[in-house]
Amino acid sequence: MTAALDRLMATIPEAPERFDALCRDDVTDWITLVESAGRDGVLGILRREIVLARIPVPEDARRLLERLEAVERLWQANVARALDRALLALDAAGIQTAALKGPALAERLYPEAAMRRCTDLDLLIAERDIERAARALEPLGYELEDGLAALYARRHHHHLHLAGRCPPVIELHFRAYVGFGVTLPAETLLARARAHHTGGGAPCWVLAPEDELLYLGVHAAGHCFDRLLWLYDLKLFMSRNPRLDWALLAERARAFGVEAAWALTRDVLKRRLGVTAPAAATGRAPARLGRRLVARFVDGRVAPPAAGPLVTLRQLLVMAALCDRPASAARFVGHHVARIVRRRAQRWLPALVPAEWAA
Amino acid sequence: MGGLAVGRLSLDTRVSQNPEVVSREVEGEFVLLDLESATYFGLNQVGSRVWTLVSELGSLRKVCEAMEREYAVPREQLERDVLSLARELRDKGLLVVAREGR
Repeated sequence: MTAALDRLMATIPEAPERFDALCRDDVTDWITLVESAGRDGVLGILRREIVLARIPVPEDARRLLERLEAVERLWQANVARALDRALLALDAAGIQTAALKGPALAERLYPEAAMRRCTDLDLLIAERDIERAARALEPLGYELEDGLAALYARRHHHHLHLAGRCPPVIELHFRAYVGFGVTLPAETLLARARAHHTGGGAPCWVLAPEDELLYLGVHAAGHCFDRLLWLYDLKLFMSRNPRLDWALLAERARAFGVEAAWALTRDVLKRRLGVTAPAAATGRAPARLGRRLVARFVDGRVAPPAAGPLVTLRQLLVMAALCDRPASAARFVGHHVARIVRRRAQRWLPALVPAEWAA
Repeated sequence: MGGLAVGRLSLDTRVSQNPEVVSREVEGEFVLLDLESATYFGLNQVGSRVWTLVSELGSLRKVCEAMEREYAVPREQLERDVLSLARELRDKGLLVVAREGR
C-alpha cells in the first residue's frame, strides 16, 4: 500500500485529475490506505484532497478517516499551543530559538497547519544555552532528562529530552544534527536564521531556506525516509520556495559533509514523489552501486523492519554507507561499534567497567 | 437518594469532563483525546449524548432525566447504562468526580 500512497501523494496538490483517477482505479483497499496514511503522517493531507475532489470512499474507510483526522486536529492544536508557550518562555529568557519542523514549518507550507502531523517539539538552541533553556522551561512543568542517557546525548547526540506533565515532549537540539559521521552545528545555522512569528504570535527563528531544506533532507535520510510526510515536506518546501539558491545549498551540503545523504534524499524524492531538485543541487552521490543498494533499503522497495534492533542496524548501515568521507565513515562505525561493545561489557561485567558505559 | 450505583458512582455523583481531555464531534459522535496520555477514544452516538449532557448538566441523575425524554428506554435500564458508561469514562480518566451531591 506504500506504493499506492506514494502515487497518490505525488499528485497532491498539483494534479487533481490524476489524483481522482488514481483513487478510482488504483485504490483497492481503502482501509489499508487510510491506516498507511496515518502511519506515514499524511492522513490530514490525504483527507483534505479526498474532500476537495469529492472522492467516493467506502463507508467504513470514510468513518475511520474522519475520526482519525479529528483526533489529529485535536493533537495538533495541543502541540501548537505547547510550542507557543515554550517559545514565549525562551524568548523571555533571551534565548535565540529556532523551531525545527513542527507547527512552525506546517503553517508555512500547508494550507492548514493541522494537516501536518507533529508528534513532538524540536527546538534548536546554542549549546551554551542548554541550562538556561531548561530553567526557562521549568515553570511550564518541563524537566530536563538526566542520567546516563543524557550524559551520552550531551557528548554524542544532537538533542536532550524535556518532558512535561503532558505530552508533547520537547527535543532540545543543541546541535542541529549528528549523523553520517558529521555534526551540523547549531551556532552556524542560528547565525543565518531568520526571525519569525508562529501563527499563535510567539517569536522564534526559522532556518535560512537553503539550511532548512538541507536539514529536512538530511533528517529524513537519517530516519531512512520512514515517514512519507518527511518527503512530502520537502516537495512542498521546494514549491513554496521557488527562489532557492541551489548552488548555495550544494555548497553547504559539501561544507557540512552531507552531500551523499542529500543526494540520496534527492533520489528517493524523485522515485517516490516524482519531484526533481534542480541540477545545481546534484551534489556528490555516493558510489553508484552503494547508492543503489542503500536506496533499496530506504525507498519502500524492501519492507522496513517493524521494530527492534534491526531498525537501529538498518539506520546505522545506511548512515555508514552515506558518510561523505572515509574518515567520517570510519569515525561513525568506530564510535557505534565501540558503544555496542561498551554496553555489552557493562551488561555482562557491571562490577568491572564504568557505569556510564551503559549509556 | 435512590437510584442505582455502579462502583463508587451513583446518580447523585457530580461529574465533569476532565479538563485535560479535548473532544471533537464527527458526524454526531465524539472523539476524545486525553492530553495527559496522548490516548484517543471514540464514543458512539448515545455515548456522545451522555458526554454532552454531562458537560451541560453535571449530575448523572439529570443526564438520565434528559435522556429519558429523548430515548424510548425503560428508566432503570437507562440509569444502569449511563452509570456503566460514566464508570468506564471515569476509570479511563475522561470524567472526573466533582463532588458528592445531596
